Order: sequence, then structure tokens, then C-alpha cells
Amino acid sequence: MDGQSVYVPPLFPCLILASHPPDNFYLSSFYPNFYASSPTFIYLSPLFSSSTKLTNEKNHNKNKRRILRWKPHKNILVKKKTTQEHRENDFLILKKTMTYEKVNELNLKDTELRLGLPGTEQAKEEQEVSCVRSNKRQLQSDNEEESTSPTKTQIVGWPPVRSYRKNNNSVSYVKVSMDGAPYLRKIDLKTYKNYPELLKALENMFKFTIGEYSEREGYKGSGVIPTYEDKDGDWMLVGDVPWDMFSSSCKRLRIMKGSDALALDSAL
Amino acid sequence: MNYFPDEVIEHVFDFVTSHKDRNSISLVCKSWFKIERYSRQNVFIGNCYSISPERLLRRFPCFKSLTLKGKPHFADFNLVPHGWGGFVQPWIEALARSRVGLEELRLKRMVVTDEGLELLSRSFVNFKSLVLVSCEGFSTDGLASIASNCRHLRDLDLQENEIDDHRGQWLSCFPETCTSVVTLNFACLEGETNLVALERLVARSPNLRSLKLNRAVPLDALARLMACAPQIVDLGVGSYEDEQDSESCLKLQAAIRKCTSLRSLSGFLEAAPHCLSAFHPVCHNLTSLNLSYAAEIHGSHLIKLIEHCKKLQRLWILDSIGDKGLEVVASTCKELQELRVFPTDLHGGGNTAVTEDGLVAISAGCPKLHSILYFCQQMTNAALITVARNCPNFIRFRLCILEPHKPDHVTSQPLDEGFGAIVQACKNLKRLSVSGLLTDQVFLYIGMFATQLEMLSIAFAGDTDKGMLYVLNGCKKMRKLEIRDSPFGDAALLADVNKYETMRSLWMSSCEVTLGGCKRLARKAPWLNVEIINENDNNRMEENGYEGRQKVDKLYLYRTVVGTRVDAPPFVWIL
Repeated sequence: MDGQSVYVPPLFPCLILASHPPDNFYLSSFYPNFYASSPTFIYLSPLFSSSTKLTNEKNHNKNKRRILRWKPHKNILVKKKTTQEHRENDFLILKKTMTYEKVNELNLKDTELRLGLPGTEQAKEEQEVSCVRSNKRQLQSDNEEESTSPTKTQIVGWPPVRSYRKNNNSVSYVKVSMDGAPYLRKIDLKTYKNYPELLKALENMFKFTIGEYSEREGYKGSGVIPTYEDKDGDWMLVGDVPWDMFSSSCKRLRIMKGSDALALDSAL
Repeated sequence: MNYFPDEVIEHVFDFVTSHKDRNSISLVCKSWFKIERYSRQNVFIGNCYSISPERLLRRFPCFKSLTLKGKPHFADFNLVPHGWGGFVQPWIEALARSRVGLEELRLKRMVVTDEGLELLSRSFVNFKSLVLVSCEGFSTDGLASIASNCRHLRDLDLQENEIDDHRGQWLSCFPETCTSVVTLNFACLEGETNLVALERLVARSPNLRSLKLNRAVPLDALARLMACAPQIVDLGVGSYEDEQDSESCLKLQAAIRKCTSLRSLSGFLEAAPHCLSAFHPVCHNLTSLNLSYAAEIHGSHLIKLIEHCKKLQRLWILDSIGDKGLEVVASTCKELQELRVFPTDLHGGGNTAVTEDGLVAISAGCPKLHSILYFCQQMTNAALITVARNCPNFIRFRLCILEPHKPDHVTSQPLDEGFGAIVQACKNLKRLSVSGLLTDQVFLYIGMFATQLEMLSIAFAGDTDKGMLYVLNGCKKMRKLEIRDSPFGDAALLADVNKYETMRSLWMSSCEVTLGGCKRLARKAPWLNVEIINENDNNRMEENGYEGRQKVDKLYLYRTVVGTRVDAPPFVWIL
């Protein structure tokens, strides 16, 4: 047995559970026999939850196997990376729904009492291989739920579709509404090449000024927040995803202002 | 045959039209070489840098039609930087200086200028046909000179070019006396069109067979155009927006019913679904349908249209049709020969995308299928093996799984066995594109079985140099090999230098090839142009002390009889 054992009162059943340290992701599909080769045995008890966490970490460190972190090929040029994407490029597993809330910084999944052979989580994780965490900032949904539509890192020249075709696919004319304005406008997204151009055009069109954009905090300072509805029907903050992705998935724009915007400002 | 006079032999040669066959004829003996030379009407040059216009004219003084291709195929996907080359200007100038009676010019992936088009239009009295595919560098002014000056213009076919649209009056530059137009395709123009001039041109062109409009031609104009040209065979619908005006729709329906010769339909760049039904009456005659630009049309409407198209031979469609839609295609279109399924969501994660089930359904339902281009999110070995069994007649098989390195989604295995089954079953396979998780094994299969393979596209595949070696050693008829993001290096590149003389070109980008290796290759093979394209570094490669081991970002090599080209930009280094 490789793992360290913790004394557990005989009333509690012993479980074989592979270690899932919450802050480490690995590509299980490359090592399908990961669990079978040298499982980590942990005896669990909720009473000893804090020490269980220590045990997990200790076990993990002790049993440092050759965990491969898949990195994209170094010659892949990525068009635009936010800091969040930089982090996520190294880790490619997306846990689809984190349904366990973090309580006292513990991931209760570790202490979940399940009867199952090690490796039952494998199939699920294999499906999630090479999904990068969505960079979408969801405005009207729970923060705990991960986005169910992962976005991909942009690789130059991939997929192999002619740029002429890519341009045609993208939605061109979108309606723009501004809170408080009596009429809608329509703009052609293809006439803009990046966010500053678009925002400037919007500012001119509706006669307002927009605040500074920062990835963390959105648009600060002006009480005006540009949002858009994407192909999935979600309302997103303008500026979060790379421009190409935005221009091809944006269906409608809405410039929020006034009390709605202020409420969002504080929430973000 | 030696006892026949030359005229008779020449007459016999007239029946031989394929370039390959004519090339073979010219190798038989000196007299045949001479006769063939002077009687060659159509010249095809697959790589404009493999030969010079002067040598072309020396060899074939009497040709009428020239086809030229410039940039490598991966230029379509923005892998070749702007300004790399492929300029047609020197060719037009040389041809203009000579006395060749050029009638047709077909260019693909070349840089064309307005000056060049003007020179072209003025230099050849009998110029009839201009076909530009994926070209760039010119504007509607160039088109205006073609329209004005080419008295006998028959074809003006602009396919997917990047044209600077000055919203000018190029259509009105066709003189009133011009009644010879047979093909008019300007679907790739972005700007406004002079509708009056267009309608008048169509009305006075009784031979018009192919008309492809751009997005600026609205529904009512389309109805009028079709009423003027009921003889139309190939129609590209422009804008098909949600017209509340039902009168336009009625007029369109009436006009469409008269177009009994209509066989090919495309366009629908901005389309509203309900007017699609206006075309149902002509669907039973259609042999070619291109709905791949109709991003706005829902799958269900596409299916309703296709259900009527029993004679369809060629179908280009978006993956919004879904597996269900492909099943409808499989059960309806029994004559289908070519299918292309393009992705709608280029950034992945679409619910209506097609899967391996759609591909299997098509292979089971369409026995005449020989060409396929299929973009999908997932694939399995089992599906590919089934497809290979159902359809052993593939000539072109291009599968693109959108996510690089993606394995069989059921077994998590690489897709080696699936593609292996394809190459083993399809003995006439000439073109193959592979994708998904692949090891060296798939290349072993390709080398062993794909004996007729001429073009192979590889991306994110393979483990070691052995993969590339299997292909180079095995595929005797390989002409174009293009590889990106795969771990093939100098050992594979240098193993058989003479192989590249039998090929048109080799492209390797983001592989393991080093500058030292490329230099060694260039030394061993002076009849090759070995180009290093390094748009970010300019000349940094030379300064670096470790240059021998420095990896090359993009390598493009091709055989040539005219040596290093002189028009290379600074970021291209020819060794």
C-alpha cells in the first residue's frame, strides 16, 4: 500500500478513493491505468476532515508520479491571451460543474463518501480533455456554475477554413440598444477590427463616454456598461473574449446605463 | 505513326486534352515533341515559380489558355504572410510583349493588380475568359478595364477573391455592343452594384449560362434578372433578406418556374428561410447546390429544400444541417458524388454540429460518393472503418476534426486504424487530409496502401521522423505534401533528397526542422528552391550563434528550373 493511513474508528467504512487534490489537474487519458497502477488509499471520516486534507496533500506529494501537464505545442501562435487564459493553457481539464461549494476552503468532493473503483471518473474526464475554461463572464447566472460551452484557444490558421469563408460566417449587422434611448441602431461588426474601434463608434453614435476596461472589473467609472447577447443567448460583457470570437458570436448589443449598470458595477 | 504527315498527327493530338497525357506524348520522340509543342492550346503551371514566362513562351509559342497557381495551399488559412509572392505582373508583361494570342487566363492564389488587368485587357484582342480564384491585390477598377476593353469577353469568373470594392461603375463599363457574356460571377464583391447596368447586361446576353450575384443584389432585382435570363444554368443568389414584400416573392416564384435549365444553385449570403421554398419547383433538376454561405438558414429549412433534390451530385453545406439532415441527404441524393460540410461555429462547441454518425449515413446511402470534405467535432475508428467499407471509391477524402489531437471519443485511441482502413479500401485515393490524434502508425498505413496518393495534408499528427519517412518512401505519386505542427525533423527531411524532384512542393510549418537541416538540403539539391519564411525574425536567424540548431518556423520548398526567384520579400530567405 502506498498511501499513509489515518486511524479511523471502526464504525466508518473504509473507502478506496484516488486522491483528487483540488488544485491539481492532470490528463488522465494519457495514463488510463493511473488509478490501477498505484492507488492511493485513504481512510475517511468527516470528523477528521481537516486532517484528511493534510493527508491528501501529503499523499500527493509523496506519490508524485509522472503527471504530464499537456502544454500546447510551443510553436502554436495564440492570437490573444488574457491572463486567465495564460493560466488555463497549462491545464486542460475542465470540471464541468463544480457542484460542491467550497466550505472552509475544503473541497468536499474529496471527502465524498462514494463506493466506486478508482478510475470511474476517468470517462467523464476524458471527455473534458483539452477544453479550456470559458472566459465568459456570466452576468445573470450563478457564479458557481461553470459555463457549459468551453471556448478554444485560437490557433493561427485553424480550423483550415478560408478566411473568405470565415468572414462570411460571422454575423455582420447587429442591433444596438441603449438604455434610455428611444430608438435602436444597427451596426456592421465587420467594419471594426478591434474593441477600441467599436467602442469609439458606439460612443459617437449614442453620445456617451465609456469607462476604462479592465479584465477584472469591467468598465469602471462611467456607469455605462456595454453588453452583448451571444449565440447561446447569454448576455456577456463586451471585451472579455478575443475580438474574432466576439464578432462571430455577437447577436445583439445592449448598452446598459443608469441603475441597472450601477447595480452590476457593484456586483462585479 | 512516323509515316503520317505532321498535320495528321497534330489532328490526333487534338483529341488529347489532359495535361498529363500531353506531357507524356511530348516525351515519345523528337518529332512528337515538336508537333506537340506547337499545337498545345492549354498550358497548366502548378507553381508559378517553377518556370519563367520566357521559357514558357519558348516551349509553347502558340498556346491560348494559361493556368497559373501561386501561393501554397496553406496560404488559404493565413499561414503565408502578406507579400510573400505569387505576382502575376511579370507573366502578363511577358505575354503582352510576345505575340501569343492569349484567350484565357486562370489564376489561383496569385497577386493581381489593376495595372496588370488593364495591360491584359489591352494586349490580347481575342481575350475571352478570366477566372480568378482566391486572388488579391486588385480593385473594381481593374474589372472596369476588363469590361471596357475586352470586346469578346465570354467569362468573368471571380471566386472568393479579396477585391477592393470602389463601388464604382464597372458593370456599366461593358459596352452596349457586348452580347457575348456566358459567365458572370461577382459574388465576392462586397459593395453596391449598379443594378440598372446589371439588368441591361443580362438582358442583352442571350448566351448567359452562369450568373452569380453579390450580396448587394436584392430579391426584387433577382426576380427581374431571372425573368430576363430564363436560360440560366448556374445561379448564385445574392442577398435573400427577409422581404416582407410578398409581391417580390411571387414574382420570384414565377421567374424561377421558367428557369427550366437551372442545374446549379449557390449564394444565399444573407438569407431568410421562407423564400427558400420559392426554389422548390426547380430542385428536382438540380445537380449542384452550395448552401455553405447561408449561415442564417436553420437546418430544418435546408432539409426541406434538399428533400426535393433527387438528382444532386454536388452538395456544399454547413454543419447546421446536423446528422439528421445528413441522413435525409443520404436517403434522397442517391447520385451524390461530392459532399462538403463546413463548420458554422469556428470556435468549437456547437450543439447542431455533425458527428461521425452523419458521415456513416452518407457513406451508406450514397454509392457514387467520391469526394468528401467533412468538418466535425468528433470521430471514431469504428465509423471510419464502416465508411471505408461502404465507400471504397473515394478519390478525395478530407476529414477535419476541429480539435487538434482529439482521439476516438469512444475508445480514446488514436485514429490510426480508421484512416488506415480508408487508405486500404480506397485504392484510387488521390487526396487525403488527416486530423485528430494520430501516431506514426497512420503514416505507415498511408505509405503502404495509398499508392495513388498525390496530395496529403497533415496537422498536429505523428510522433517521430518515422511518420514522415513512411510517407516519403511509400507514396510514389506524391506531388504536394503539406505538414503543420507535427514533430518531423531534419532526419525525415534529408533522408531522400531526390524525392523532392518528383514532387511539386513540400510545406512544413511549426515542425522540428532546423535551419542547419534546411541549409544541408539546399546544398544537396540545387534544383530546389528552399524558402524559409520567418515573418517575425527578419534576419535574426543569421545572427544567432546557434543557427544550425535553430528551428525553422515555416519551410516551403519546390522544384524549379529557373533557380532562385527575384521577387522574394525580406522575410523570405531562400537558401
